[in-house]
Amino acid sequence: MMDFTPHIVAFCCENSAYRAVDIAGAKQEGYPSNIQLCRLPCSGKLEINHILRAFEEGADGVFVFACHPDSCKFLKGNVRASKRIEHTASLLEKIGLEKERLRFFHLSELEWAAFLEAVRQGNESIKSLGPSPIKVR
Amino acid sequence: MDSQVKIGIFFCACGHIMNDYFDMKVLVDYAGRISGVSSVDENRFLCTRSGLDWLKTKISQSGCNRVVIVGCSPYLYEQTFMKVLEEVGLNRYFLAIANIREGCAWVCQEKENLMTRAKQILSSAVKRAGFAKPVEKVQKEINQSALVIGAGLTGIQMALELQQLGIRPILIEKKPQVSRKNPPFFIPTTQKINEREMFSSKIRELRDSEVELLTSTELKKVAGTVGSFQVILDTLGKEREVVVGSIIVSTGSESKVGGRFADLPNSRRIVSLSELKDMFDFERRTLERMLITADKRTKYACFVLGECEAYTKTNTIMALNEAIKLKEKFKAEVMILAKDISVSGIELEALYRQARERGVLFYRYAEESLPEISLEKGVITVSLTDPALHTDQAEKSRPVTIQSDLLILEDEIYPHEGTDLLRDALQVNLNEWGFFQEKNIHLKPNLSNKKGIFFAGSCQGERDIYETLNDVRSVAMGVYSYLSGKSLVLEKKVEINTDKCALCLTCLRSCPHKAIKVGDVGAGQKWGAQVIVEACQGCGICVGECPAKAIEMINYSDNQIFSELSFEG
Repeated sequence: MMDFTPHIVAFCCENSAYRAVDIAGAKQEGYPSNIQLCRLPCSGKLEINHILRAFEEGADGVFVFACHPDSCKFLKGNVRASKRIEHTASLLEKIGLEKERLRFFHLSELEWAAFLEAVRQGNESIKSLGPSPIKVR
Repeated sequence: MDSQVKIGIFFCACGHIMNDYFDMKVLVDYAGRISGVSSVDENRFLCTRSGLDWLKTKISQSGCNRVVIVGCSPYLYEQTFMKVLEEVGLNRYFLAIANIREGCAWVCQEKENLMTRAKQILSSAVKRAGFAKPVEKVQKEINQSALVIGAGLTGIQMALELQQLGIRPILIEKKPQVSRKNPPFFIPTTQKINEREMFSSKIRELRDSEVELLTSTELKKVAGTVGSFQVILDTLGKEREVVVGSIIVSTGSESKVGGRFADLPNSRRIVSLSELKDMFDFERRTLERMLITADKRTKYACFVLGECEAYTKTNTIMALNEAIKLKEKFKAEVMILAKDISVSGIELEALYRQARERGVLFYRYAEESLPEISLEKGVITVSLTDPALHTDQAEKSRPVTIQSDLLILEDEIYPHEGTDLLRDALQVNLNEWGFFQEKNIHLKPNLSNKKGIFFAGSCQGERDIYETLNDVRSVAMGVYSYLSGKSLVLEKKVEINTDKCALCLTCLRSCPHKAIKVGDVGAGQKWGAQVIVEACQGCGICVGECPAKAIEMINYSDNQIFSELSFEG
């Protein structure tokens, strides 16, 4: 269990988090290499089946990065995302998966440091949860 | 994946950077073995002009119809590469970028995982490109004119600026006439600019120009989208349809006496800030009678600020201005009572300093103890406790009592009457205070949630003169950017499958841009939701909400997102 590296999918809104990740990249600030990024036009685009699919594919954790409340480019996209994520978390609990595996963060375009902090902490917490029991494919 | 798909992978070595991190030979070899890949090439600098030319010839030589660029972040050169694709005759969305510089080389903490991660990113991008579908382009004729609602200072300036840019403005005003006597709403300024004079000079300029001004006119109905809004105007019951390319709202705001002082007895010695300003301009005699008498006693004027719920900059600016004027013109003793004076704005700090130098007294009262005001036999008494004034022995604030000849109260600023009706006609959003809601307060401060509708001036909340003029300029540029060409090229990023559509109207309700309409799709087909291409911004919220999965975002299809989720390495 000691050398377990979780697979983590990070859904990033291209108006905020994906830019923050990009800045972190340009600054050559490292983050765990097991974080796989997925770019979205808005966190409101994220569907429940995308999250579930990620778990099916063998992800041990899914992080969703959305804009701060009230600063979504599309007004309410982040609110919709947070509701969907709440619902998905309840679905995960039903099938016996810890809902802590799905985490939601608010991030602005310039908060690259907050992104690094979030993925590092998130990575540790997923590590402590252990590997996901689900791997369909 | 379609068998017709031929993916061309183009590596950019970014000088020596990629070679420092990766064994490029291994990566190129790996790329060649991915299914669907027809050609793999490598260049030192893809983003240079020669690199782009090389890319162009390579794409046409290899005959590939999907392109994967392996290099730096998509934010840097995605648009450039998309242009190249268009030049060689491919759809611009047939591109996928594998970001192995910012996304891998520079951030990978564990060096032994570098290769795995790069391969992962590469294979995702290749899959993504394989699922790419063309995004259609829609051309739309545009009408090079704009409707400006509200002929205040903002509206007139707006019309004049648009005229200069070659866009025909139509200016409408609800009031029967636009004159110096009834400016729609004053914009408070610092001492340097007199906004009434400025307003009358703008009216003269407007008369000299060829701007079409329609007074006593209201907006009734709006249909269509950017480039051609069909607007029905109502002039004293007579309706008329005009077609404009863009709509600018500059309806401004109104002021009323605010706070608890609405309950105070009616007295001509209690006025609001805007009333005092009007008295200075038009009824100087009344003021003189109040403040200059035979007994040569020093007269007192007292401003009470900070009673209204929201802090308003407008009130601070006006109070400072009027206090200085009272001091100069009538040698009165002027006091400003406030919870807090904040001077955030151009030249405001200097204005405050000027007021202090002239001898205006500032008193501060605490949040919990509002000043008491009483009116007896024509004498106004204001008492407050200033936390800064302590008696020596007991650490208790000493009460201050002021007998004032003139009491000036602050205004509260409201959106103009009829804003709700205008909101309904334009289908834009209002914020929690009833002002027009901008799209993004930081990034797009003058754009509405609908393409082609702009806000300028104090219809969005309080504005000082500098902010207003900035608004006007930025809106003029915004309108110009839409209407300068002959036609508008739009992308149809979202597609609705009407066979799957159950007409639940979820998309209609969830779309933040009102870009969905429901109606007849065509002869012989069933009813369904449709995307209004001109209004769609491509956020994908409707796609996420649709319970029937009838809506698809073409360049973020499910398959494309799934392809970024798999772990192979």
